[in-house]
Amino acid sequence: MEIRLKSKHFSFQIDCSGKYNFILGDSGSNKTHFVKAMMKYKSGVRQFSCNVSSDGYKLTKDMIHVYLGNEDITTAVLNDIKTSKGHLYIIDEFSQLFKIRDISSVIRDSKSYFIFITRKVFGWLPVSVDSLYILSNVNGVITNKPLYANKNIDLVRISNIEYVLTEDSKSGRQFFELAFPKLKVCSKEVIDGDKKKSRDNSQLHNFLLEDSVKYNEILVVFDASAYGFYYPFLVETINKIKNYCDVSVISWDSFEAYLLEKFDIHVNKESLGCVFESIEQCATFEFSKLFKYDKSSLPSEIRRDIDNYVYGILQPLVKYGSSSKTSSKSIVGISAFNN
Amino acid sequence: MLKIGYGCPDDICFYIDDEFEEEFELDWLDNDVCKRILKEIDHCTWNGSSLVDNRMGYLFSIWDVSTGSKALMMAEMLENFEFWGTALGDNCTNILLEIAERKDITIFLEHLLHFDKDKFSGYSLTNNRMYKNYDDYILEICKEVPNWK
Repeated sequence: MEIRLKSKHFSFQIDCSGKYNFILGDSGSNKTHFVKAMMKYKSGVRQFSCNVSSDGYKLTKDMIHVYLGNEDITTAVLNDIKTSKGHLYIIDEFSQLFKIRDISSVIRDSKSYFIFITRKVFGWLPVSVDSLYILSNVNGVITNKPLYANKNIDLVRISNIEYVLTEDSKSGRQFFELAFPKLKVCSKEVIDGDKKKSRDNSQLHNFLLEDSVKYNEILVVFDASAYGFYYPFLVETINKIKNYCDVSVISWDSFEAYLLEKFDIHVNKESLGCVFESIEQCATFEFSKLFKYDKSSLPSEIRRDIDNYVYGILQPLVKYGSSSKTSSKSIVGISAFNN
Repeated sequence: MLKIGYGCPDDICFYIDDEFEEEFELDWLDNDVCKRILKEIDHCTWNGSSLVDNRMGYLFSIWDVSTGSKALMMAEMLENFEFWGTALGDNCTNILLEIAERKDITIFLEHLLHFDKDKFSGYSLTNNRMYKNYDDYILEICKEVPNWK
Protein backbone atom coordinates (compact mmCIF):
# COMPACT_ATOMS: atom_id res chain seq x y z
CA MET A 1 0.00 0.00 0.00
CA GLU A 2 1.41 3.35 -1.05
CA ILE A 3 -0.16 6.65 -0.11
CA ARG A 4 1.15 9.86 -1.65
CA LEU A 5 -0.66 12.95 -0.43
CA LYS A 6 0.47 16.46 -1.35
CA SER A 7 -0.57 19.95 -0.39
CA LYS A 8 1.02 23.40 -0.65
CA HIS A 9 3.19 23.08 2.47
CA PHE A 10 3.84 19.37 2.97
CA SER A 11 3.55 15.89 1.56
CA PHE A 12 2.86 12.51 3.12
CA GLN A 13 4.55 9.35 1.83
CA ILE A 14 3.09 6.37 3.67
CA ASP A 15 4.19 2.83 2.75
CA CYS A 16 2.80 -0.18 4.53
CA SER A 17 1.52 -3.69 3.89
CA GLY A 18 -0.95 -6.15 5.37
CA LYS A 19 -4.51 -5.61 6.49
CA TYR A 20 -3.92 -3.72 9.74
CA ASN A 21 -1.44 -0.91 10.27
CA PHE A 22 -1.10 1.56 13.12
CA ILE A 23 0.45 5.01 13.16
CA LEU A 24 1.55 5.81 16.71
CA GLY A 25 4.07 8.16 18.19
CA ASP A 26 4.69 11.49 19.88
CA SER A 27 2.22 14.32 20.09
CA GLY A 28 2.69 16.86 17.31
CA SER A 29 4.13 14.27 14.93
CA ASN A 30 1.42 14.91 12.30
CA LYS A 31 -0.82 11.91 12.98
CA THR A 32 -4.08 13.86 13.15
CA HIS A 33 -2.69 16.20 10.50
CA PHE A 34 -2.55 13.19 8.17
CA VAL A 35 -6.18 12.22 8.87
CA LYS A 36 -7.41 15.80 8.42
CA ALA A 37 -5.44 16.17 5.20
CA MET A 38 -6.98 12.96 3.85
CA MET A 39 -10.42 14.30 4.79
CA LYS A 40 -9.75 17.53 2.93
CA TYR A 41 -8.68 15.54 -0.11
CA LYS A 42 -11.87 13.47 0.15
CA SER A 43 -13.92 16.67 0.44
CA GLY A 44 -12.43 17.94 -2.79
CA VAL A 45 -10.19 20.73 -1.48
CA ARG A 46 -8.16 21.56 -4.59
CA GLN A 47 -4.87 22.13 -2.74
CA PHE A 48 -4.72 18.41 -2.00
CA SER A 49 -3.73 15.73 -4.46
CA CYS A 50 -3.49 12.10 -3.54
CA ASN A 51 -2.54 8.78 -5.05
CA VAL A 52 -3.22 5.52 -3.21
CA SER A 53 -2.21 2.21 -4.72
CA SER A 54 -2.07 -1.37 -3.59
CA ASP A 55 -0.39 -4.23 -5.45
CA GLY A 56 -0.12 -1.97 -8.49
CA TYR A 57 -3.81 -1.04 -8.49
CA LYS A 58 -4.86 2.55 -7.89
CA LEU A 59 -7.64 3.07 -5.37
CA THR A 60 -10.26 5.54 -6.51
CA LYS A 61 -11.36 8.32 -4.19
CA ASP A 62 -14.58 6.51 -3.31
CA MET A 63 -12.55 3.51 -2.10
CA ILE A 64 -10.84 5.66 0.53
CA HIS A 65 -12.74 6.29 3.76
CA VAL A 66 -11.68 8.56 6.61
CA TYR A 67 -13.15 8.56 10.11
CA LEU A 68 -11.99 11.30 12.45
CA GLY A 69 -14.52 11.62 15.25
CA ASN A 70 -17.82 13.34 14.60
CA GLU A 71 -19.22 11.18 11.84
CA ASP A 72 -22.57 9.48 12.10
CA ILE A 73 -22.11 5.71 12.17
CA THR A 74 -25.14 4.03 10.71
CA THR A 75 -25.89 0.37 10.15
CA ALA A 76 -25.30 0.99 6.45
CA VAL A 77 -21.80 2.34 7.18
CA LEU A 78 -20.96 -0.74 9.24
CA ASN A 79 -22.31 -3.01 6.55
CA ASP A 80 -20.23 -1.21 3.92
CA ILE A 81 -17.09 -1.73 6.00
CA LYS A 82 -17.90 -5.36 6.62
CA THR A 83 -18.57 -6.22 2.98
CA SER A 84 -15.98 -3.99 1.31
CA LYS A 85 -13.07 -5.47 -0.60
CA GLY A 86 -9.77 -3.73 -1.26
CA HIS A 87 -10.86 -0.37 0.16
CA LEU A 88 -8.76 1.72 2.53
CA TYR A 89 -10.11 2.87 5.89
CA ILE A 90 -8.15 5.51 7.81
CA ILE A 91 -9.56 5.71 11.32
CA ASP A 92 -8.59 8.09 14.13
CA GLU A 93 -8.74 6.90 17.75
CA PHE A 94 -11.58 9.32 18.53
CA SER A 95 -13.82 7.96 15.78
CA GLN A 96 -17.34 7.02 16.81
CA LEU A 97 -16.67 3.65 15.17
CA PHE A 98 -14.96 2.51 18.34
CA LYS A 99 -18.13 3.13 20.33
CA ILE A 100 -19.82 0.38 18.32
CA ARG A 101 -20.15 -2.75 20.41
CA ASP A 102 -19.16 -5.30 17.77
CA ILE A 103 -16.74 -3.16 15.77
CA SER A 104 -14.15 -5.91 16.14
CA SER A 105 -16.17 -8.38 14.06
CA VAL A 106 -17.03 -5.68 11.50
CA ILE A 107 -13.36 -4.93 10.94
CA ARG A 108 -12.22 -8.54 11.08
CA ASP A 109 -14.85 -9.63 8.54
CA SER A 110 -13.88 -6.88 6.12
CA LYS A 111 -11.54 -7.62 3.22
CA SER A 112 -10.15 -4.09 3.18
CA TYR A 113 -7.09 -2.31 4.53
CA PHE A 114 -7.12 -0.37 7.77
CA ILE A 115 -4.78 2.32 9.04
CA PHE A 116 -5.48 3.30 12.63
CA ILE A 117 -4.22 6.60 14.00
CA THR A 118 -3.90 6.01 17.71
CA ARG A 119 -1.56 5.40 20.59
CA LYS A 120 -3.55 2.42 21.79
CA VAL A 121 -2.87 -0.69 19.71
CA PHE A 122 -5.98 -2.84 19.81
CA GLY A 123 -5.54 -6.11 21.65
CA TRP A 124 -8.67 -7.39 19.91
CA LEU A 125 -6.97 -7.47 16.52
CA PRO A 126 -4.05 -9.67 15.43
CA VAL A 127 -1.62 -6.79 14.89
CA SER A 128 1.92 -7.50 13.82
CA VAL A 129 4.79 -5.88 15.70
CA ASP A 130 6.09 -4.61 12.37
CA SER A 131 2.76 -2.99 11.49
CA LEU A 132 3.42 -0.28 14.06
CA TYR A 133 4.80 2.98 12.69
CA ILE A 134 5.71 6.49 13.69
CA LEU A 135 5.86 9.53 11.42
CA SER A 136 9.01 11.42 10.59
CA ASN A 137 8.99 14.95 9.17
CA VAL A 138 11.98 16.11 7.15
CA ASN A 139 11.48 19.52 5.54
CA GLY A 140 7.75 19.00 5.12
CA VAL A 141 8.04 15.47 3.70
CA ILE A 142 6.33 13.22 6.22
CA THR A 143 7.08 9.49 6.01
CA ASN A 144 6.30 6.48 8.19
CA LYS A 145 9.04 4.51 9.95
CA PRO A 146 8.80 1.21 11.82
CA LEU A 147 8.44 1.85 15.54
CA TYR A 148 10.26 -1.14 16.94
CA ALA A 149 12.96 -2.11 14.46
CA ASN A 150 15.71 -0.45 16.45
CA LYS A 151 14.48 -1.45 19.86
CA ASN A 152 14.05 -5.03 18.74
CA ILE A 153 17.73 -5.21 17.84
CA ASP A 154 18.41 -4.39 21.49
CA LEU A 155 16.63 -7.60 22.41
CA VAL A 156 18.96 -9.81 20.40
CA ARG A 157 21.27 -11.65 22.75
CA ILE A 158 23.91 -14.35 22.52
CA SER A 159 23.79 -16.65 25.48
CA ASN A 160 23.12 -20.15 26.67
CA ILE A 161 19.63 -21.38 27.41
CA GLU A 162 18.22 -23.49 30.21
CA TYR A 163 14.53 -22.71 29.84
CA VAL A 164 12.20 -21.95 26.93
CA LEU A 165 9.19 -19.73 27.41
CA THR A 166 6.81 -19.82 24.46
CA GLU A 167 3.89 -17.53 23.78
CA ASP A 168 2.17 -20.43 22.04
CA SER A 169 0.70 -22.94 24.48
CA LYS A 170 -0.12 -25.57 21.85
CA SER A 171 1.76 -26.83 18.79
CA GLY A 172 4.60 -24.30 19.05
CA ARG A 173 5.30 -25.18 22.67
CA GLN A 174 5.03 -28.89 21.85
CA PHE A 175 7.59 -28.47 19.07
CA PHE A 176 10.23 -27.12 21.47
CA GLU A 177 9.47 -29.85 23.99
CA LEU A 178 9.98 -32.60 21.40
CA ALA A 179 12.82 -31.08 19.41
CA PHE A 180 14.95 -29.96 22.35
CA PRO A 181 14.61 -32.56 25.12
CA LYS A 182 17.69 -31.21 26.89
CA LEU A 183 15.89 -27.94 27.56
CA LYS A 184 13.15 -27.32 30.07
CA VAL A 185 10.12 -25.93 28.26
CA CYS A 186 7.34 -23.97 29.94
CA SER A 187 4.29 -25.93 31.00
CA LYS A 188 1.19 -26.14 28.86
CA GLU A 189 -0.98 -24.66 31.57
CA VAL A 190 -0.58 -22.21 34.39
CA ILE A 191 -2.08 -22.18 37.84
CA ASP A 192 -4.27 -19.15 38.45
CA GLY A 193 -5.53 -19.28 42.00
CA ASP A 194 -6.79 -22.82 42.33
CA LYS A 195 -7.57 -23.25 38.63
CA LYS A 196 -5.48 -24.59 35.76
CA LYS A 197 -5.63 -22.33 32.71
CA SER A 198 -4.14 -22.47 29.22
CA ARG A 199 -1.37 -19.97 28.63
CA ASP A 200 -2.57 -16.64 27.31
CA ASN A 201 -0.27 -14.53 25.12
CA SER A 202 -1.35 -11.41 26.99
CA GLN A 203 0.57 -12.67 30.00
CA LEU A 204 3.86 -13.69 28.37
CA HIS A 205 5.72 -10.74 29.88
CA ASN A 206 4.33 -11.51 33.33
CA PHE A 207 5.35 -15.18 33.01
CA LEU A 208 8.83 -14.01 32.01
CA LEU A 209 9.03 -11.84 35.11
CA GLU A 210 8.03 -14.77 37.32
CA ASP A 211 10.32 -17.25 35.55
CA SER A 212 13.32 -14.91 35.67
CA VAL A 213 13.49 -15.56 39.42
CA LYS A 214 13.83 -19.31 38.81
CA TYR A 215 16.03 -19.43 35.69
CA ASN A 216 19.16 -17.55 34.70
CA GLU A 217 19.07 -18.20 30.96
CA ILE A 218 15.72 -17.98 29.21
CA LEU A 219 14.73 -18.17 25.57
CA VAL A 220 11.48 -16.30 24.83
CA VAL A 221 9.63 -17.31 21.66
CA PHE A 222 6.70 -15.36 20.30
CA ASP A 223 4.77 -14.90 17.06
CA ALA A 224 5.41 -11.28 16.10
CA SER A 225 2.60 -11.33 13.53
CA ALA A 226 -0.04 -10.98 16.24
CA TYR A 227 1.89 -9.55 19.17
CA GLY A 228 1.75 -5.80 18.46
CA PHE A 229 -0.35 -4.87 21.47
CA TYR A 230 1.78 -6.77 23.99
CA TYR A 231 5.23 -6.15 22.57
CA PRO A 232 6.04 -2.93 24.51
CA PHE A 233 5.31 -4.71 27.78
CA LEU A 234 7.66 -7.54 26.84
CA VAL A 235 10.40 -5.05 25.94
CA GLU A 236 10.00 -3.30 29.30
CA THR A 237 10.11 -6.63 31.13
CA ILE A 238 13.26 -7.80 29.33
CA ASN A 239 14.93 -4.47 30.06
CA LYS A 240 13.95 -4.77 33.69
CA ILE A 241 15.34 -8.28 34.25
CA LYS A 242 18.38 -8.17 31.97
CA ASN A 243 20.74 -7.36 34.84
CA TYR A 244 20.14 -10.73 36.47
CA CYS A 245 18.74 -12.94 33.70
CA ASP A 246 20.07 -13.65 30.20
CA VAL A 247 17.15 -13.45 27.80
CA SER A 248 17.40 -14.73 24.23
CA VAL A 249 14.58 -13.94 21.84
CA ILE A 250 13.07 -15.59 18.80
CA SER A 251 10.48 -13.28 17.36
CA TRP A 252 9.50 -15.06 14.19
CA ASP A 253 6.38 -14.05 12.29
CA SER A 254 4.64 -17.29 13.22
CA PHE A 255 5.53 -20.87 14.07
CA GLU A 256 3.61 -22.13 11.02
CA ALA A 257 5.45 -19.68 8.73
CA TYR A 258 8.70 -21.12 10.08
CA LEU A 259 7.63 -24.70 9.31
CA LEU A 260 6.48 -23.75 5.81
CA GLU A 261 10.00 -22.60 4.93
CA LYS A 262 10.98 -26.26 5.02
CA PHE A 263 8.71 -26.68 1.98
CA ASP A 264 10.06 -23.54 0.34
CA ILE A 265 6.79 -21.73 0.97
CA HIS A 266 7.40 -18.20 2.16
CA VAL A 267 4.63 -16.13 3.68
CA ASN A 268 5.44 -12.49 4.27
CA LYS A 269 3.56 -9.33 5.09
CA GLU A 270 4.22 -7.78 1.70
CA SER A 271 2.38 -10.60 -0.11
CA LEU A 272 -0.44 -10.84 2.41
CA GLY A 273 -2.93 -8.42 0.83
CA CYS A 274 -6.04 -7.82 2.93
CA VAL A 275 -7.72 -11.23 2.68
CA PHE A 276 -5.76 -12.66 5.60
CA GLU A 277 -5.58 -10.81 8.88
CA SER A 278 -2.06 -11.85 9.71
CA ILE A 279 0.90 -13.91 8.56
CA GLU A 280 -0.04 -16.46 11.19
CA GLN A 281 -3.53 -16.88 9.72
CA CYS A 282 -2.21 -17.15 6.16
CA ALA A 283 0.59 -19.55 7.17
CA THR A 284 -1.83 -21.76 9.11
CA PHE A 285 -4.09 -21.86 6.04
CA GLU A 286 -1.16 -22.88 3.82
CA PHE A 287 0.15 -25.38 6.36
CA SER A 288 -3.26 -27.03 6.59
CA LYS A 289 -3.02 -27.82 2.90
CA LEU A 290 0.05 -29.95 3.65
CA PHE A 291 -0.96 -31.57 6.93
CA LYS A 292 -4.06 -32.25 8.94
CA TYR A 293 -3.58 -29.39 11.38
CA ASP A 294 -5.68 -27.33 13.74
CA LYS A 295 -2.94 -25.65 15.82
CA SER A 296 -3.76 -27.72 18.90
CA SER A 297 -0.96 -30.24 18.30
CA LEU A 298 1.84 -31.02 15.89
CA PRO A 299 1.03 -33.26 12.91
CA SER A 300 2.27 -36.80 13.50
CA GLU A 301 4.49 -36.60 10.36
CA ILE A 302 6.43 -33.77 11.96
CA ARG A 303 6.58 -35.38 15.38
CA ARG A 304 8.08 -38.54 13.87
CA ASP A 305 10.76 -36.61 12.03
CA ILE A 306 11.23 -33.73 14.45
CA ASP A 307 15.00 -33.31 14.00
CA ASN A 308 14.51 -32.53 10.33
CA TYR A 309 12.41 -29.54 11.26
CA VAL A 310 15.18 -27.90 13.24
CA TYR A 311 16.73 -25.62 10.64
CA GLY A 312 17.23 -22.00 9.70
CA ILE A 313 16.82 -19.73 12.67
CA LEU A 314 16.61 -22.68 15.07
CA GLN A 315 19.87 -24.20 13.83
CA PRO A 316 21.90 -22.79 16.74
CA LEU A 317 19.73 -24.77 19.15
CA VAL A 318 20.62 -28.24 17.78
CA LYS A 319 22.99 -28.93 20.67
CA TYR A 320 19.92 -29.11 22.88
CA GLY A 321 18.31 -31.72 20.62
CA SER A 322 18.26 -35.51 20.86
CA SER A 323 20.52 -36.20 17.86
CA SER A 324 24.30 -36.03 17.70
CA LYS A 325 24.27 -32.77 15.72
CA THR A 326 26.43 -30.10 17.27
CA SER A 327 26.49 -26.38 17.01
CA SER A 328 29.71 -24.48 16.64
CA LYS A 329 28.35 -21.40 18.37
CA SER A 330 26.33 -20.61 21.42
CA ILE A 331 22.69 -19.65 21.15
CA VAL A 332 21.70 -16.60 19.23
CA GLY A 333 18.58 -14.58 19.88
CA ILE A 334 17.08 -14.01 16.50
CA SER A 335 14.91 -11.20 15.32
CA ALA A 336 12.47 -11.49 12.46
CA PHE A 337 12.79 -7.75 12.00
CA ASN A 338 16.45 -7.93 11.13
CA ASN A 339 15.65 -9.83 7.95
CA MET B 1 0.33 15.57 42.13
CA LEU B 2 0.00 13.25 39.15
CA LYS B 3 -2.51 10.45 39.78
CA ILE B 4 -2.49 7.46 37.45
CA GLY B 5 -5.27 4.98 36.77
CA TYR B 6 -6.07 2.61 33.90
CA GLY B 7 -8.86 2.17 31.36
CA CYS B 8 -11.19 4.96 30.34
CA PRO B 9 -13.93 5.78 32.91
CA ASP B 10 -17.04 7.46 31.51
CA ASP B 11 -16.73 10.64 33.56
CA ILE B 12 -13.25 11.71 32.44
CA CYS B 13 -12.35 13.97 29.52
CA PHE B 14 -11.93 11.59 26.58
CA TYR B 15 -12.83 13.73 23.56
CA ILE B 16 -9.93 16.11 24.12
CA ASP B 17 -10.41 18.08 20.88
CA ASP B 18 -14.11 18.70 21.51
CA GLU B 19 -13.57 19.61 25.18
CA PHE B 20 -10.75 21.96 24.20
CA GLU B 21 -13.05 23.77 21.75
CA GLU B 22 -15.45 24.43 24.62
CA GLU B 23 -12.87 25.37 27.24
CA PHE B 24 -10.28 27.36 25.30
CA GLU B 25 -9.93 31.10 25.96
CA LEU B 26 -7.72 33.36 23.88
CA ASP B 27 -5.80 34.55 26.94
CA TRP B 28 -4.47 31.00 27.43
CA LEU B 29 -1.99 31.95 24.73
CA ASP B 30 -0.48 34.57 27.08
CA ASN B 31 0.32 31.85 29.61
CA ASP B 32 4.02 30.95 29.61
CA VAL B 33 3.39 27.22 30.08
CA CYS B 34 0.91 27.16 27.16
CA LYS B 35 3.45 29.02 25.01
CA ARG B 36 6.05 26.44 25.94
CA ILE B 37 3.69 23.55 25.19
CA LEU B 38 3.02 24.91 21.71
CA LYS B 39 6.72 25.53 21.09
CA GLU B 40 8.04 22.18 22.38
CA ILE B 41 5.26 19.82 21.28
CA ASP B 42 3.87 21.42 18.12
CA HIS B 43 6.91 23.51 17.11
CA CYS B 44 4.83 26.64 16.66
CA THR B 45 4.49 30.18 18.00
CA TRP B 46 1.46 32.43 18.50
CA ASN B 47 1.90 35.67 16.53
CA GLY B 48 -1.13 37.43 17.98
CA SER B 49 -3.56 36.31 15.31
CA SER B 50 -2.45 32.86 14.22
CA LEU B 51 -0.07 30.02 14.98
CA VAL B 52 3.08 29.91 12.89
CA ASP B 53 4.91 26.66 12.23
CA ASN B 54 8.49 27.30 13.35
CA ARG B 55 10.01 24.93 10.78
CA MET B 56 7.99 25.58 7.62
CA GLY B 57 6.54 29.03 8.32
CA TYR B 58 2.94 28.29 7.39
CA LEU B 59 -0.03 29.47 9.46
CA PHE B 60 -2.53 27.24 11.18
CA SER B 61 -5.36 27.39 13.66
CA ILE B 62 -5.29 26.66 17.39
CA TRP B 63 -7.86 23.93 16.66
CA ASP B 64 -5.24 22.12 14.60
CA VAL B 65 -2.59 21.73 17.31
CA SER B 66 -1.96 18.21 18.54
CA THR B 67 -4.33 16.48 20.94
CA GLY B 68 -1.44 16.08 23.38
CA SER B 69 -0.85 19.86 23.46
CA LYS B 70 -4.56 20.52 23.95
CA ALA B 71 -4.65 18.08 26.88
CA LEU B 72 -1.59 19.68 28.48
CA MET B 73 -3.02 23.19 28.08
CA MET B 74 -6.25 22.10 29.75
CA ALA B 75 -4.23 20.43 32.53
CA GLU B 76 -2.44 23.75 33.05
CA MET B 77 -5.47 26.04 32.84
CA LEU B 78 -8.22 23.96 34.50
CA GLU B 79 -8.43 22.62 38.06
CA ASN B 80 -8.30 18.90 38.91
CA PHE B 81 -8.28 17.93 35.26
CA GLU B 82 -8.99 14.21 34.75
CA PHE B 83 -8.44 12.89 31.26
CA TRP B 84 -7.55 9.99 28.96
CA GLY B 85 -3.76 9.95 29.22
CA THR B 86 -3.41 7.84 26.11
CA ALA B 87 -3.94 11.11 24.22
CA LEU B 88 -0.42 12.05 25.37
CA GLY B 89 2.76 11.14 23.57
CA ASP B 90 5.94 10.39 25.49
CA ASN B 91 7.16 13.87 24.53
CA CYS B 92 4.40 15.39 26.71
CA THR B 93 5.43 13.78 29.97
CA ASN B 94 8.12 16.19 31.15
CA ILE B 95 5.73 19.15 30.95
CA LEU B 96 2.95 17.02 32.48
CA LEU B 97 5.15 16.23 35.49
CA GLU B 98 6.07 19.91 35.88
CA ILE B 99 2.41 20.99 35.90
CA ALA B 100 1.61 18.17 38.34
CA GLU B 101 4.16 19.59 40.78
CA ARG B 102 1.82 22.57 41.20
CA LYS B 103 -1.63 21.02 40.94
CA ASP B 104 -3.56 17.75 40.89
CA ILE B 105 -3.91 16.03 37.51
CA THR B 106 -5.41 12.58 36.94
CA ILE B 107 -4.69 10.49 33.87
CA PHE B 108 -6.14 7.14 32.83
CA LEU B 109 -3.95 5.05 30.55
CA GLU B 110 -4.58 2.38 27.95
CA HIS B 111 -1.04 2.30 26.61
CA LEU B 112 2.47 2.30 28.01
CA LEU B 113 3.28 5.98 28.57
CA HIS B 114 6.98 6.56 29.17
CA PHE B 115 8.29 9.17 31.58
CA ASP B 116 11.77 10.41 32.39
CA LYS B 117 12.85 7.88 35.01
CA ASP B 118 14.66 10.47 37.12
CA LYS B 119 11.82 13.01 37.09
CA PHE B 120 8.94 10.61 37.61
CA SER B 121 6.70 11.00 40.64
CA GLY B 122 3.10 9.88 40.88
CA TYR B 123 0.25 8.38 42.84
CA SER B 124 -1.20 4.97 41.98
CA LEU B 125 -4.99 4.91 41.92
CA THR B 126 -4.79 1.12 41.67
CA ASN B 127 -2.90 0.68 44.92
CA ASN B 128 -3.83 3.98 46.60
CA ARG B 129 -0.27 5.00 47.35
CA MET B 130 2.65 6.93 45.88
CA TYR B 131 4.80 4.97 43.45
CA LYS B 132 8.11 4.02 45.06
CA ASN B 133 9.94 4.81 41.85
CA TYR B 134 9.61 4.56 38.06
CA ASP B 135 10.13 0.77 38.08
CA ASP B 136 7.18 0.48 40.44
CA TYR B 137 5.03 2.29 37.84
CA ILE B 138 6.36 0.11 34.98
CA LEU B 139 5.60 -3.07 36.92
CA GLU B 140 2.08 -1.87 37.59
CA ILE B 141 1.33 -0.71 34.04
CA CYS B 142 2.65 -3.97 32.56
CA LYS B 143 0.13 -5.81 34.71
CA GLU B 144 -2.80 -3.43 34.28
CA VAL B 145 -2.88 -2.22 30.67
CA PRO B 146 -3.04 -5.68 29.02
CA ASN B 147 -6.33 -6.09 30.91
CA TRP B 148 -7.76 -3.14 28.96
CA LYS B 149 -7.17 -4.54 25.50
